[in-house]
Amino acid sequence: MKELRHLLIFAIALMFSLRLSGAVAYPSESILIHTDRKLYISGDALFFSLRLIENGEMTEGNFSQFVYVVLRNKSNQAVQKVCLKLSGSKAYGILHLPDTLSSGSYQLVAFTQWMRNFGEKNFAQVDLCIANLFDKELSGFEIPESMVSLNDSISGQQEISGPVSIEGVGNSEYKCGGTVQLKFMLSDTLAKWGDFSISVREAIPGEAFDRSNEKITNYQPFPEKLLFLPEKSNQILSGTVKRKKGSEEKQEIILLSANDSLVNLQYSTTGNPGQFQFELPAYYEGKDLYLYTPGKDSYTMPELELRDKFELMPGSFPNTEKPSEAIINLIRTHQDFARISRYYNLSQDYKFSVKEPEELHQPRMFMSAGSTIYTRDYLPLENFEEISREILPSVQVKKSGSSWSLQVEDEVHHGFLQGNAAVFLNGVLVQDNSEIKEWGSSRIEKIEVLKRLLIYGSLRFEGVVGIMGKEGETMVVPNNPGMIKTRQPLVLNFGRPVFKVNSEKSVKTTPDFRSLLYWDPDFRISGKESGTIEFAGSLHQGEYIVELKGMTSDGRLIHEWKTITITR
Amino acid sequence: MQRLLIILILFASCHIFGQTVNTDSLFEPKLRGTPYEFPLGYTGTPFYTDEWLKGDIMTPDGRQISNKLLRYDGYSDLLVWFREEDSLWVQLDPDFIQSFTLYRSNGSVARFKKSPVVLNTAGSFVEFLAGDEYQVFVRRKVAVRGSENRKIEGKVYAFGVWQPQYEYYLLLPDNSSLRFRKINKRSVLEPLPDQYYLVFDDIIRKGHLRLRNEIDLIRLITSINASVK
Repeated sequence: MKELRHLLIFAIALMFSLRLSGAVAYPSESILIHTDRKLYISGDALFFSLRLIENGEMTEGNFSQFVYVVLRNKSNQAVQKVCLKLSGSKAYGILHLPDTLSSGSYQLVAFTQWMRNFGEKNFAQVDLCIANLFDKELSGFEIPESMVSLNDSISGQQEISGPVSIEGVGNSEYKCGGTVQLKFMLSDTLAKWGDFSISVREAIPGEAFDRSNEKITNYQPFPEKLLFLPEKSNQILSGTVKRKKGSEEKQEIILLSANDSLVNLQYSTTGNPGQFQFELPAYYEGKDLYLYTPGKDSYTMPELELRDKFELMPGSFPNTEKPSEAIINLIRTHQDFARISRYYNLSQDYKFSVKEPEELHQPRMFMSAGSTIYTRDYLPLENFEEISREILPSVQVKKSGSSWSLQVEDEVHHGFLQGNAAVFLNGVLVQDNSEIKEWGSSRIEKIEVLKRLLIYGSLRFEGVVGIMGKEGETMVVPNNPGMIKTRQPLVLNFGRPVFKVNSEKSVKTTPDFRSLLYWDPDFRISGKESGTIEFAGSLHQGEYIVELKGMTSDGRLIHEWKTITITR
Repeated sequence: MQRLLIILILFASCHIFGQTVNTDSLFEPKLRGTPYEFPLGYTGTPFYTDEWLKGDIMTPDGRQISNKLLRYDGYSDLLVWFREEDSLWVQLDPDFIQSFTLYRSNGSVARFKKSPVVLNTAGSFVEFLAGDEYQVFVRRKVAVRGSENRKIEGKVYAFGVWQPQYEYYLLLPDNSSLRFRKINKRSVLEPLPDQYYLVFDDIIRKGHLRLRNEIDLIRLITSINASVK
């Protein structure tokens, strides 16, 4: 009896420890990715949808909020890359495939930075095939083996079919150019809702839905060290500091400024081993950023190296095979169709719903400057020394040999602040103030002066002088030693594409040869109600595949399909 | 021995797996301001609390800065931060503060925020005492009330005397507000419009509530909010 009691306590302790060890501390993330097609012609639009699954569920407040999508070729070169912000646990987007893409196998990879901790095998991957529009020979062209199967690998999840039924409304055969209606229903009562993306595309000859070889990756090794932080609300920019030989080992301060018309500054201190990280709000998206360490001595200045957030290790590409004659013929037909569509300018057969832009908070160092002058309000002045003497008496230029410094008047105590003021040129801190010597009224739009000592975290500035350039000079930044430049990726926020149902008139007047008839990345059905989609069939007769991918409320991954035929 | 083993397993598991990923503190915004200068020529204290309290600050863009040593100066309406690395007192730029919370050593919490526009306090910080539909705030103002002569090195100097002069604000459901300095039935009930007077009077009578101090005021507002739900 006593042993049984101890066993019970032991079991409770073990359960408690497992609960602690599990999802709460280190949530596992995987991505369900769905593309509108598997075969594309260069110049096509590639639609995709992403669903982030956290600990086996789609939850509203995901751990990571940013998903990175890379389209890479067999040589592991990224040919397209985008960053998307999740809305709930979903994101969808579009990649425009450039005409310059060569024919061959490609892979669409989607991941979060948090997923990097668990290794790239955990990333969502879809094998695709792209044929160049002008590549008529298609010699040596190979396609991934998975092209003729609808199975993708889904990290750590088992796909099952059955709970969703797809039914045609009305006829089972559809006419070219006619309207197609399909009804989707959850056919069991376990799921309260289903959240899916749907594509209707032309079938690839020999395409089969064989689940027996389904590849399930359940790769979730526990990381020894967390090298990548989750991007919960903002993107994280990270990198390392490389000290020069013989230089002293110390904690470094890394400064970051955006090239802008406001004085802005972020700083980070290095942790072990020389890593630094910045959390950058939406304001920084698409902006040129400059990173540097304080100091003027380029001999001892450490080198900064940024981490490429889109970087992928050489890919584990699938086996490829020579396509059948039927597939080659299909590609050639699609190439012809693409040329016709271009001639008739039919490529834009969808439009996006518009999403509201987010409110941006500007990372100003100070809200209101002590004084602001616009040079246009005064007579032209040759250089900065003249400006300070004639129209900016609160700023004093001090020269010592070739070195320059500025002192700012103290608005509280009057007299000048003891130390040197921090000077910003177009938003970037100037390390060597003599760089602004030649800046006169012809180059300067305005000057902001903060006439007080500013405490900024652990930094201290004895007044601030912000110089903003005139048009044509706004991109000029100081030549700080060791400074590196990067551009923060734009976070794309695609709306939902809306496919029109062709009217009788447009069918008669335009040669509509689409291989993608319908794409909806955000299709939701509730347990009791059915959902219906409606689209126009193209003028190209053949077999089309209705493919549905997503998740039900009870955490089941769904991958369903149905073949429909369009005849003349 | 077995129990010890179980405890060890528990501790080990907590140690190995119990790490959480808290990026908020790593990336929290930097506090900014200017060195605080203690106003001279007064006696008493301009501060709401006698000692530095641990506190959190919320910035206007919704980001939190946690666990800083803070004090509220009710005379200048400033939040002062004690920068531990160099013991510098920094008066924080109010433009970068949306609200702040002070944690008293007795476990109670004081929540300050920029006062709602309707209170007409020119954006000063007010402490939120209670409320939902009906809300009550207090402005922890310190004012100079009278003067005191002091002899320093043989000379007599007049020093202003700092004294708390708290102002209470009731924010009513129709977004109107009223201000009072003393907490008693007369100063709270009399300025109320008729429809609210009846509500307050009814709750006070039925609940046999007193109205003499902040605790009574909080109890009254909490009861009113509970009754209107």
